[in-house]
Amino acid sequence: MGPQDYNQSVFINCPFDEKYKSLFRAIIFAVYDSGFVARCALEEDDGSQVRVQKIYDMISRCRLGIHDLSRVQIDRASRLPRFNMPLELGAFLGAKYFGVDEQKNKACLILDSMEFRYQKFISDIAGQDIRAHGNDIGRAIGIVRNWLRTYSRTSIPSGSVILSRYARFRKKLPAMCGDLNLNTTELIYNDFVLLVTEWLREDYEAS
Amino acid sequence: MGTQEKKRSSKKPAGTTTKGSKTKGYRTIKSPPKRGTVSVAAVRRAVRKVLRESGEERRPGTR
Repeated sequence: MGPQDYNQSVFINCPFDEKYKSLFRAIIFAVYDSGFVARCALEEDDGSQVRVQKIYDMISRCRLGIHDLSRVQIDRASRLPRFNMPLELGAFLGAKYFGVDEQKNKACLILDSMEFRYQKFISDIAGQDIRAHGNDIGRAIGIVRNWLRTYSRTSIPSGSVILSRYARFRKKLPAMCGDLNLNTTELIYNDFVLLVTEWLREDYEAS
Repeated sequence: MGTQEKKRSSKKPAGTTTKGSKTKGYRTIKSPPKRGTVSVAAVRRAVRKVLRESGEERRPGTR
């Protein structure tokens, strides 16, 4: 892995459930449209590797990280919150603090649904870059784009441009999937990302 | 020599690639790190077909 790969890789620490899917896909799209590479646990399909080890390896390969804590909430059945996202955020911050060389350059964006909600369950992260997306796709895209702009050496489109491109991509997605004999609702992560990158390249060259 | 030869600059003009073609000083779309269940060529064909059908395909000779 070259330094360029490390600097342009963004670790995505988000929920993978159905309710979050629209936000998740919008964030992935924004990362690629900003010229970065999204890295996420869903891209690995190696059952022989321990899940947490897989995540640590991925964190070590990414300079940047987007951590969404908006789904840290009480589960109706278990009456307990899900804590995978804060755990992975802790691993990322630990790598920055205790790591050596390029690991020290790590930077992260923390997302939540509401401003200051995090103070009620993880107040120690105060002082980090924390933004509220309000479960809104447009706002999430804008936040991700503006944050990534700080780490980009080239010009990247505005949040509203990425949002309108994403809307056009979503409109075309069923037709593209139909042509590939894929079902939009069953689309696996790696296929979704491939569709995003190829569509962005063609769309960019056509414009 | 009577005339002084103009010194060539090794520096490329801003906004050009190594091939000399103009760029927009813009980000490039990176490839995903892992392979999916469909080939890149098949996805490219599907994307182009959909863009062609909606009249948004790339103009010929612009690449």
